[in-house]
Amino acid sequence: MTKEKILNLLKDQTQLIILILLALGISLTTPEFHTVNNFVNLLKQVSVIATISCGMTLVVIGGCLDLSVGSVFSLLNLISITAQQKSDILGIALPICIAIFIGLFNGLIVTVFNVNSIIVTLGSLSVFSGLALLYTGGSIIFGIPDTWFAVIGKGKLAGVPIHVIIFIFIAAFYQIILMKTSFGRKIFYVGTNHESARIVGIRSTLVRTMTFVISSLSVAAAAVMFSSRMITASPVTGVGFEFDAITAVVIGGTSLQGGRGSIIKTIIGVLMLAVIINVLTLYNVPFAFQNVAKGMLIIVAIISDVRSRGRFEK
Amino acid sequence: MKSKKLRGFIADQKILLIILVIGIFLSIRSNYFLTFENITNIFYYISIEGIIVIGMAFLIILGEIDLSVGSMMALGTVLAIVFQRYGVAVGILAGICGGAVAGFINGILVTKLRLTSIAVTLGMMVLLNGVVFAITKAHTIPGTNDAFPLLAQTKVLNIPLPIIIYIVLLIAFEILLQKTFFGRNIFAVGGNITASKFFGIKVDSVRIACFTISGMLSGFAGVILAAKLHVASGRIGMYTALLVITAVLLGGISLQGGEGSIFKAFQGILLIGTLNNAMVLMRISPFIQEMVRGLLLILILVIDAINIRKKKYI
Repeated sequence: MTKEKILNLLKDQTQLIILILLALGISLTTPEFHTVNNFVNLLKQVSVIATISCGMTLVVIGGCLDLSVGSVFSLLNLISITAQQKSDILGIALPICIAIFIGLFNGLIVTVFNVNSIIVTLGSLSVFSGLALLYTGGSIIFGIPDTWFAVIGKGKLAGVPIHVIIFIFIAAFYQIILMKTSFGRKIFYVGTNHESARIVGIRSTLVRTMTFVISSLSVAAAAVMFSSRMITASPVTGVGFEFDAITAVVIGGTSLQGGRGSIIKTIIGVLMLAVIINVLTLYNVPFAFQNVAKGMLIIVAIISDVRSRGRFEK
Repeated sequence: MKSKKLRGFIADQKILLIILVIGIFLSIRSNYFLTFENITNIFYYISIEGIIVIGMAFLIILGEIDLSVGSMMALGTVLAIVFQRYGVAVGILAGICGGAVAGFINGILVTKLRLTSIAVTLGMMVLLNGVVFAITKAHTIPGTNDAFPLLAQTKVLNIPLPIIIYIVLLIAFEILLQKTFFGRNIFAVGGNITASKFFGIKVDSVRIACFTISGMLSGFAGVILAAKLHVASGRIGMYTALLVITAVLLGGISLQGGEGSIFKAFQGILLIGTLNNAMVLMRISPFIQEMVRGLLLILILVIDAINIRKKKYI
């Protein structure tokens, strides 16, 4: 009985085991790897993309996908820096307010008309990237350095960068929403079968729209972290972020078919991606091959997800 | 009775009417629009994406979708440029084969492992993008064979060769779709996959064949693009999927599958080409053009969704 339990646990945590094996493998070859300092460094590198991935996780569990996060990131990065030129608080508040509208735009189109979210957000990707390019005419803009705005990106609290703390706070908040609230449970129901969820009285359009709003808000938080660290903005900063986020979510083990997943899985996915890219860099694999690796990871993760689902249904 | 038929005919040709209206408006605004040179320009512009549209129309009628067309086109471009030094025919064949292999793998993954096409082709898109970057080493590589660009530059009766190739392909694939068993099977599978299986249609072979055709045509489009530009780079094809899917939906082919024609898809891409030409002639910023393309896709999705809903209630 206990043996079965352990086996099940192992099957459930495949990703975590792979991550641990990968980390062990590297720490044997490079002694610097397994220090606390390096772990904080790793989190520092991934906090932006991890925040976006956490928001994406909720959308994916709800059975949708948001391809527009990359171009929304660029747009909000620009908005944050221009607002910061006026006042620091605006630099934080304005991107968050606009993110709510962007999320509503994506979410309402997907849910009210019941259209495929991937194709809708493929369209809004183009809309927002056009807007971002139009906003500055394609050039880079600079904020005002050395104000307290920069503390978010550069400051430290007990040795840990503040943006990492913000990320951990957001991730924990989302995990609590998913696991402990009725809204979280509704996301899982809607993702598993939104038609029957609607029939039992869950307002699935509202739930799905909310996941899109949460996704945009996470992008806003990520954009503020990034702006504060860089104090510059360019209309192309977020190009490709959508694929990094989706890769992280999928290889973490959240099912693209909706209804399964967790924030912890996504964080494991983000770390796995970072470690794999770390390894590729360590072994001098050219940068160009990283996308090959990412694409293969997505396909392998999708295949293994469907396999495990098949086993589950039997 | 007669007026009803006439009205039905006109309702079917909405897109052509819209193109006509834009055309009349533009010919009043600009003297250049109605010249032979400009009309050839529009067709030259759409001939490359138009070839991909043919394959996408097959897939959407089948009830599937392919997001990797842009990367497959880029792969075709790169392979054509790499292999054209061994002869023009070798270059052309390499591009087509590269696309076909990628499409075939898509088809195998979707049918044999029962994955959703949208997720598989999303992975394939990232993967092939990496392959293209790996081959070009993130540089722009020029062609060396002077005979190769003739594929795009030759003119027959003052009409560029790509346009003639495109029209031949349009007719050939329309016949394949409307007049052969294979074509009828595509409609059957798109209409109802389970019923088709019971009728003894080899559903999986039909689906694999369509994915391969889509890959082949994307690869071929890449070859023509390579001949036109005479360089290859990994940046090619980023927005192709967006444009091509918009064109097919704009032509009035529903994402539900089971209906449509190549001629309809052609109308869709012609409208996009005309709109693009209009925006260039009116000197609208390319950033706004990008936004318009995205908005167009979202708009047409919403209209498609409303139409599907109407049909359900009747």
